[in-house]
Amino acid sequence: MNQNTQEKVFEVDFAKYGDAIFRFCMVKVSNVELAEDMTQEAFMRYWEYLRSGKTIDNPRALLYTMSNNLAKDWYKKKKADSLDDKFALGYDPIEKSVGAEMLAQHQEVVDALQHLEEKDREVMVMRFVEGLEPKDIAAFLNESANVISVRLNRAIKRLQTVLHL
Amino acid sequence: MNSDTKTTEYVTKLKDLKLSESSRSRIQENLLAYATFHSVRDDVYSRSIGVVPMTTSLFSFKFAYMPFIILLAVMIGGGTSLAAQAAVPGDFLYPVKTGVNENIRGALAISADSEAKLQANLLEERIEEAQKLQAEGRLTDANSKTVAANILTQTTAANVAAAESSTQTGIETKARIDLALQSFLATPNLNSTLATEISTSLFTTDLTAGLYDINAYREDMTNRTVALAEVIAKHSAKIEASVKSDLSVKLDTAAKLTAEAYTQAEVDARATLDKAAILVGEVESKLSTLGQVQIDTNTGIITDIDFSIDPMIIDRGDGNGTSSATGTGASVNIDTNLNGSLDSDMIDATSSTSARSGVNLGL
Repeated sequence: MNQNTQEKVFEVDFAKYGDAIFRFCMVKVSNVELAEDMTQEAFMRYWEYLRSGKTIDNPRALLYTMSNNLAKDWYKKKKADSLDDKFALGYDPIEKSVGAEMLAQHQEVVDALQHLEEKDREVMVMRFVEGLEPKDIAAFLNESANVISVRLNRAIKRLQTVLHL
Repeated sequence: MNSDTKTTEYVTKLKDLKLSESSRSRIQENLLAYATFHSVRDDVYSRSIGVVPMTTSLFSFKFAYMPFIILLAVMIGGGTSLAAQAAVPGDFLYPVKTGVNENIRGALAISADSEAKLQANLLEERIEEAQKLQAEGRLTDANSKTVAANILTQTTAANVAAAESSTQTGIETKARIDLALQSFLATPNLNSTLATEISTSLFTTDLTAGLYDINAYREDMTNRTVALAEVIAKHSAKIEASVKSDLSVKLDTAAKLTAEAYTQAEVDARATLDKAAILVGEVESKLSTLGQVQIDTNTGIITDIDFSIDPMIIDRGDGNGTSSATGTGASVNIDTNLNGSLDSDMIDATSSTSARSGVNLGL
């Protein structure tokens, strides 16, 4: 286990999973800068694993778990920020502050997804964007495959309503 | 189902959502920097900046070792001067001995008497050092000058201290100094350079202090007494019984006085030796009237008598008869130069005594 080989692994994994993690974060927070920061933070935590020499069977799963935890922290913090003030200023729960580099199309989808429950959002992305099977998603999120399937169905119905399909 | 498909397809559009190139390279750079800084733990030496260990050897210092460290410090600290105490000139620690230890002892010797004792001790130490060097075969011509200088310097210091101390201590100290130097010069196979250095210096510089004087006086008297006793014993048949008994009594008395002088301090010893010298002088004088005396040219001691040759005593009784009492030939030759002025003075005195004694006893 040496620094150079671990750095190589780290670099390759970022190239492989960086975008997926970014998307995942994007759907969670719908803010490009924030999603980027979260992606970076998730990979930093991932490096701590690589560095400590722990065996990583499924890097992707680990990265999702880390991102998910970061998102949870972010939500907690967001809630802690006085919601009252924000509602008083005409707070819109759907974040509009996506970056300019993001295509309008993507922005629309992300915005649409904000109408879903947070947990539904993440399974939607993992299933239909990343193409993961429900049992894999279940493993990443530490849920049963059945729960994931239920969430997916519910999310699709909900999104259909939002999109007036 | 159609709407479901549409819905999922809608979401699938996000597949094209990616990190922008600028963000990607920025994040990648940050991550690699982070990885470099927080280097792999098993390989702490591969990167310089991440290598800072939690503890260094300095900070991992265990207080459990403290007693050992203190002990070590004490051993080193106190041990140096202890070890130095055994040092001789030329040793690494010798300057510690003379420069530190002895100055401390000097500072502790407050009274004039303790100072005198200390200086005498130090002289004895200087002499012991020289003897140690001699015994170890480390006494060379080169270092013997230094050793001699050490001894002479200390002798001077000791004499000064003795002069400043109380009468009793002064006498004792002087006696110790004399004895130490005397025994030192009597060391077997003493390095000749050292011996010469010491004896000549003592002779020229310490004669006024009476240092060499008294010892030489004692030794001289002893030698003369012994030599005369031998001469008399050798020729006892040729000497009249009455004269012989008279001479023997005088010699015995002289021998006792001389022996006594060895136990006395200088002033008393000198007086005692003077008495012995008179008696010995009378014996020598008497002998010189009996025959031709042979005198050791080095010591001025009568070693034999030739009864077959009549002594020819000139200037009898004038008190300056030594040089004139040479008889018929060169067989009587008193060397007055070898042992310097002291010895010639002594011989003069002795000779004048013997000349006078000759007048008294010989007729």
